[in-house]
Amino acid sequence: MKRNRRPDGKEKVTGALKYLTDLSFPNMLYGKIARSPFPHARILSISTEKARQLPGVQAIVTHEDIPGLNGFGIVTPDQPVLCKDIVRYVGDAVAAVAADSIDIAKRAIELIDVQYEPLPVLDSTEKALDPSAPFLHPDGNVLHRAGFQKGDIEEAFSKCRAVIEETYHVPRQLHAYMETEGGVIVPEKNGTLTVYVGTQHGFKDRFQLARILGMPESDIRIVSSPMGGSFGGKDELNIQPYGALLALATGRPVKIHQTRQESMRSSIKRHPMAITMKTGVDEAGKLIAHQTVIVADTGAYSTLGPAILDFAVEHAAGPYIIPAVHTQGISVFTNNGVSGEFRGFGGNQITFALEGQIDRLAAAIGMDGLEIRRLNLRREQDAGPLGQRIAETNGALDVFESAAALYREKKSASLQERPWKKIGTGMAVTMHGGGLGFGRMDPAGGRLTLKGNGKIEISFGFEEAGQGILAVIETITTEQLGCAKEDLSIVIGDTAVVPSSGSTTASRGTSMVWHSLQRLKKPFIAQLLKRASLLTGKERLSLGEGGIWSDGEFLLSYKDLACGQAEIVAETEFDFPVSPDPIDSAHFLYTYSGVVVQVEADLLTGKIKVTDLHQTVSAGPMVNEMGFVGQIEGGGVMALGYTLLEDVVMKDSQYVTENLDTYLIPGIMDVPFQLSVEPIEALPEQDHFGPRGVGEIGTVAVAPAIASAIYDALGLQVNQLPVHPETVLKSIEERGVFHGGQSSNSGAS
Amino acid sequence: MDVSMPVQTVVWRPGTLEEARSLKREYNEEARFIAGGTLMQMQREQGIPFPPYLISLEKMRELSDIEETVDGAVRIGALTDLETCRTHPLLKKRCPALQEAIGTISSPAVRNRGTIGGNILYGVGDVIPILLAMNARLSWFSEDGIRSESLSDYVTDSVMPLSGAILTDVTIPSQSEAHCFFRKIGRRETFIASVVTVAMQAMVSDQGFIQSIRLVAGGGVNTPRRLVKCEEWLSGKRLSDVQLTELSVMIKEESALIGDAFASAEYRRTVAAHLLVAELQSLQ
Repeated sequence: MKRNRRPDGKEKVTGALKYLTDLSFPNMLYGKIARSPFPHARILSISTEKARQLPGVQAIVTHEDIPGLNGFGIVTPDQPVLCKDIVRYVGDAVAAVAADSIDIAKRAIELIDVQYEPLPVLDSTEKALDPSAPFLHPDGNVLHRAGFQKGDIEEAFSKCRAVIEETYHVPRQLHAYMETEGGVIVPEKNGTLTVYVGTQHGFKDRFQLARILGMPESDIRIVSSPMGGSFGGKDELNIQPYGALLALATGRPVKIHQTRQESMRSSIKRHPMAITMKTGVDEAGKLIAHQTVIVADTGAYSTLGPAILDFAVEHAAGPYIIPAVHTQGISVFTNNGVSGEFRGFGGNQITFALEGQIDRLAAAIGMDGLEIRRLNLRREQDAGPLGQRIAETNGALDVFESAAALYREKKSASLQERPWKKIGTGMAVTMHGGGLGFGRMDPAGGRLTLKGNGKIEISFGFEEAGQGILAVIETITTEQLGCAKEDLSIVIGDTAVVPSSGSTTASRGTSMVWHSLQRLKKPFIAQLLKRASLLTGKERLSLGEGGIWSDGEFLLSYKDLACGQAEIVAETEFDFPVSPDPIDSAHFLYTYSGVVVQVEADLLTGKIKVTDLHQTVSAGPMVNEMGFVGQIEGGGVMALGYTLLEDVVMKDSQYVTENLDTYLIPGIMDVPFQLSVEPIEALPEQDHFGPRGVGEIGTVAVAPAIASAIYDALGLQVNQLPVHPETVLKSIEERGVFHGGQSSNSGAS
Repeated sequence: MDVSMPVQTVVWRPGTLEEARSLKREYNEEARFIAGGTLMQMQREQGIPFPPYLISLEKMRELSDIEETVDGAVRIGALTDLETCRTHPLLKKRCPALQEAIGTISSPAVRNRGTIGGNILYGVGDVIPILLAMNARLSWFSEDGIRSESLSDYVTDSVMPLSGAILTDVTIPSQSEAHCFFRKIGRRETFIASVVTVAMQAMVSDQGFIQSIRLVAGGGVNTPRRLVKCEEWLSGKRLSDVQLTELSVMIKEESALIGDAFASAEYRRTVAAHLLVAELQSLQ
């Protein structure tokens, strides 16, 4: 079936592909950015005099050199491009240098003399919310509050048979894309600027850069694909403003490519959150009351902090139908780096807490974890978590039943435990909204063109970040038009030539490519066939491999159809589908996953090894099996890292983990040998929304499934990620959970 | 602040030990020896610049062989790369636990460049615990000729025998019937620094008596050390009589491992004790 090879696959695995950070131009300079060593300080003075004396330095820019707005941020531009008075985290930029070589630029950065007066450091949300805390922004330290309420929560709690209250702590996760931020910014002869830097939304970068540079958007061209990974991390601007300012200052191309250390210091991370949940069930095991308080550490600047909190609030009750729900969230400014967009978008944090609650409640009332889920999961026609109507699917129960069957099978298989090991099986289930949500501008679009050379050009404003959008475009377009992949030319990632498609985020790419083709194919095919009919005088024509066919016979090549005539163009613009109910930020298209995990706990060291990771995913028809499996398996491994290894540790708002030698992502030996994905493609007959995107869903419910397996193995209920072996070992020692017989005479017990 | 670029490092590539020694004598504090360079590259990444002069030992091929000596010991040239050690037939036959330990070091790329001598001189390298357990000796080329000392003395005193000395080889005495054990615990499965390393070499008689034993614990920034008190306490005892709980407490105390931001001292000591005790128990 649909095991199409990626069009960009061979070049990527052989290393032949040139990324934007591999580009070089004649006369090119190298840029470096000077960032604050203090997490919070007042700038007393900036002297660039010495640095300018260094031979080979071509330009130095500070806040004084910004022609337009000294700020960026996808929604609220409150992050200074170059700080003037105050620095609010250790990645804050104060100056940038362009020089003849990287070494000279590096040395020049050391020679820039910035005098700071350190200010009190708000290194926790508690400190930032203290009434005596200094304000990090004019309106204080609260970036955003969000909430949701239905039913009478107090009354509902009074009727509960059992109530569980727990606070869950989740870490700051690094995207750890292979290609760190970078590219080349080229000033063109006609006064325009070409920015060869990866991003998830070229038109948004163009808008933000125009505002900073005081230039018309039409004078800026963004070339932004391919990228060596992003995962949400390159949606916001990163090095582009510095490269642009330096290119304009010198009139020469400027390349900036951050080192891993520079990247870890300045990049956004996944929001750390403290989530307190109080959840109750009635006599029958029905969930009747669910109260949640979310405190998110959003760091120094806004970026997408508000939307991420909204998303977490929306998913607080996830796929469960609970009559009384009360959710409150607060996103707090601190001096801890900047938190922002990351695959899963607040869903991963909240799902770890929610599924933890379900497992604890099941244990508390002596009910099977599967039974309590089956009893409370949403049905096809139930409203969405904010009470909004959503696209109906039976996804929640479908993935649950698939996962439940596998869970029972794994649980009952008599596995031979090795000495000093304990095996545990766990499961979790979730739902995840795609698109940006109600009330947010979420336009999409695409364009089909029969070019003069006979190629059918399909173009989108989407970006290829390794997720496989090129394969998705190729598969959907050839399927919908009937042509061969050799007939196609795919154009993305260049604002000079592509239509606006919105951002390549929020699991929207695949879905929007399919919707575009639904709109484009009819007018496009009609125009092609009309011309073919005129040229040949034949009827009953169709598009096929290589050209136009009639009654199973090849008639006319696309080249002959295009030759000497005007291009045939079909273009579409539309919005991502939303709920008919006007509830702010509510989603309409959801995907679902059921996860089954097996772990092996080491009783001597407390280490947890995931030995089996299965995900059943309901996201409509699968476009390309290899792409689908890649997204879910890759997402699963990323989530495994989140659960067991990954934590950007900060102390006094300084990074403790400065590079990938202390910040650990999983290696191949941490990945379970048993890794499986089951797609559920079924949709109700009336559904006309097609394939949903699966960029995020594979990351969402893995952590709670691993936690559930740890509980099964050891009786330990973890409430903090990543799960430290130390916590596990302490619990093992306290409980005396040891392998039968072996511990009787052991000093290890 | 001086407005100029940092000095470029000059690399010397002497062909003989004498030449290397005289270069070191000449440039003294401004020069460092370099072999595979994997550690120094990592340190440079962490902000420790290269010195003005590097004396590369790479051309001294005679220091990169592995052979059996006349008295049945195994001699490994200090410049032998780790991958060669990991796959060498003689070591496979005589020191499989050493090969296992080397297999846990970093990544294949690093093992292809890094040398066994470099790993020892790192001070906390993962070959040290098992070499200590096997009672290895080091040979040095120094101002006053070839000198030899036990690895244990070297790590305990942690002083280089005279400035400018060059480690030439590591010798592992013959002890064919001994039971060897090595285990490294890191924060992930591979390509990772150690949190805890333990090693053991034990000779147990047919009657179940411990004839000789060496126990080693290290990990992280902790220099691997022999647990001499524990060894003495165990020697001569019948395995089945050993009070494992008491031994566990002794190992924790004597190992004296210290912690960092990622793993506490208590955790490291507990894990070291668990691993050694479990291994000893498995010999019963």
